Amino acid sequence: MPNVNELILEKLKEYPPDVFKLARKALKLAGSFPEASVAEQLGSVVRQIVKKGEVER
Amino acid sequence: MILSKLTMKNFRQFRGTQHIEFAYDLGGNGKNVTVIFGENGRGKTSIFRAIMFCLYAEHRLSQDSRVDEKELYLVNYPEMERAACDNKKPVDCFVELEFSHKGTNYTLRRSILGMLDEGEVIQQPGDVLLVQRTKDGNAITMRNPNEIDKIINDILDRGIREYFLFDGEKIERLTRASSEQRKEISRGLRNLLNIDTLETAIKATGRLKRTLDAELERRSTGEFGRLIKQLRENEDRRTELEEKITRLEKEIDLAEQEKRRVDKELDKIREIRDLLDARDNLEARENDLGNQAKSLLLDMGTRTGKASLLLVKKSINRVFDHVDQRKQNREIPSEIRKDLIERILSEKKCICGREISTESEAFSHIIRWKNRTTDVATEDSMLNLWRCLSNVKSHFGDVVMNIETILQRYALVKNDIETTRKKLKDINNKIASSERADAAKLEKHRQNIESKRIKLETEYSKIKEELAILKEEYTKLSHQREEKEREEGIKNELSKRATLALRTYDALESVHNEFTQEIKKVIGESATGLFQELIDKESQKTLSQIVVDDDYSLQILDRGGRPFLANISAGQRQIMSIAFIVALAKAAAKGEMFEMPLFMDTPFGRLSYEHRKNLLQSIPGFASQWILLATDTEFRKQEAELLKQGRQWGKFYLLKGQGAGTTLINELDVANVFTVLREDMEG
Repeated sequence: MPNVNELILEKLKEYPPDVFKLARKALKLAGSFPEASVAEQLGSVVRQIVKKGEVER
Repeated sequence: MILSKLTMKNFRQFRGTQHIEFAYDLGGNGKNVTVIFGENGRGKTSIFRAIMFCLYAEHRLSQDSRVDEKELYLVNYPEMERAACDNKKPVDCFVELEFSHKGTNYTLRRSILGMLDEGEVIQQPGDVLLVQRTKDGNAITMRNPNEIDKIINDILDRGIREYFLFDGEKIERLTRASSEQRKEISRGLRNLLNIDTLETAIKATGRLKRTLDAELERRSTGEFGRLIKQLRENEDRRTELEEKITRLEKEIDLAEQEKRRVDKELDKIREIRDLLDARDNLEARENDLGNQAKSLLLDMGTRTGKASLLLVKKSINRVFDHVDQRKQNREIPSEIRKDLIERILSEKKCICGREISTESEAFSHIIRWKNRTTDVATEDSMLNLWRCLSNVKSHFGDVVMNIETILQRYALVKNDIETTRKKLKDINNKIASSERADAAKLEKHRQNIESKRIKLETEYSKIKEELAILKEEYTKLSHQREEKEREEGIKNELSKRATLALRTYDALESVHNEFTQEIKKVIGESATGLFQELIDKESQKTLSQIVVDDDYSLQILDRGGRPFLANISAGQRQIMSIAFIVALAKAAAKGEMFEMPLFMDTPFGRLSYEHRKNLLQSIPGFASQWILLATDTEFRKQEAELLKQGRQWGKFYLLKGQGAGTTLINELDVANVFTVLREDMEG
């Protein structure tokens, strides 16, 4: 299915911006890296989001 | 993938080098149908085999299960005989397939060498070569078999190849997939729908979440710490069970493989072949009935909510009768509202303006009246309750009838299962007591494998149930954790990171579920539409909907919404499978034409004229390329006329026998094919 990732991102837009940001990054990385490497890279993305105070609630 | 040319050299019946060019809408001429026509034994299936061999290096097709490996040779036999007499050199055989995919042209050639050694055929796999030509004219040549396999698999996943390249007689198998086949199909479908990336993202976020939670658990105390610990334990248990599930799936696959191996061995024993055929049919029926019973139980589950009202039927009737009695006595609704009576009493003045003394009889009368009247809120509630109960009561009959119908159907299906099992047991016993000792021994082994498989399946179902409960618990615990964080104002950075990972994981999982449900719904609806278009009018009256189950297996519902797969004919199954394939291709192409050929080997054998007519009129418009292999009995002048009317028929090839073991491929102009086709016999 050609635009499946776009459809997924469209659905993710319904979630808070911090969740959307992390999920979008996870999808992007998952297209090129294996699971363990994606998890490791996401660790620093989460840290940045929290540090910048972008966490909802 | 669009096929443009097939070249075969000394492959099966095709001696020397021969080729077929497929119609593929060249230059927008709209011609996308190729018919390859020949009597039985002329090599139609060999063309199908050539494509499977070239693309996937496969020697055997699904229909070869009862053919001895030694009897199946790909290299042309007369040519091997000639070589054995002449030069004793091996015969060079190859299949070359030219095709395009997403703007890139490919030429794939796979070779095999064959020779006769003292009457025995020896075959040796040869080279494989793939040339890839891009739009800008660059060509890349590949010779590494693994690299080539990967490219071909990316273009058309091995797991779903039978959805596009199939033997018509066997296509109905799609509706009878074994656990192994279902998994393979599901994997292929997931690749086709491209949700692998999403699944990797979910796993990675889950991994991150576990890492952060472990750190948080080490640093947390009290109620919050306890929740984190419970969540971790829940996840550990689920991981443990999921590993068990994977192990069980492998064991079930192995048992099924071993069962198939034994079946193959048993097939070699000619004396018991009739019994084996009967057993195959009964096992397929048992499987279908089992699925039907499962669906009925699920249906029952969804109706038990309403049915629970039957438990309080007496109380509902009593309350309803009480309110209804008051309504009939005209106590509710009151003729005059209670608040108005109270105003008259407090103002001591009638609505006509006349003064009312507290000593008067009228005043006492109004007091009695007030006592009999109910206040407005209670009155409204009672009237609402009356309406609500009246509605509930009207459904009692339906609920009872539905439950009774399901129970009756379930009892009938269970009865059918028992009868089928009894017949199976009889056949198994007959095979086990065969005069051939080898058959008896193999049968005993088969029965042991079967009991082991059933045990494994039971364990598998139990674990699946436990996993569902744990998953529900996990959702509850996650909510409690979020609550606790809010209540206690836990705001440290680690906790924030862990929560964000958890929320993202949940979001991705939920999107995944939503997405797969939607896709299945879309495929099911589209398949239903196509099915209704292709199926004959009589079947339309009975069959209403194709449903794609969670594991992507298929089910068909009757007009009453009941599972009906076990009762449909082989021809109807064939139509159902074709509708599903086209729906799948449509879903994958997102409404555009999906670039994949539909290659059907003798699909009309079991179909009535109306079904054939519907297929011939509809398929050219559904598929980007249709290659039809047909015999003289299924493709006659009347079928050709129908196909011609659609104006998409571009190529026709006639397979002509040229003495023992040799077939010549002749191309005929579509306008001239009528001279070789049989006369109209029916319809």
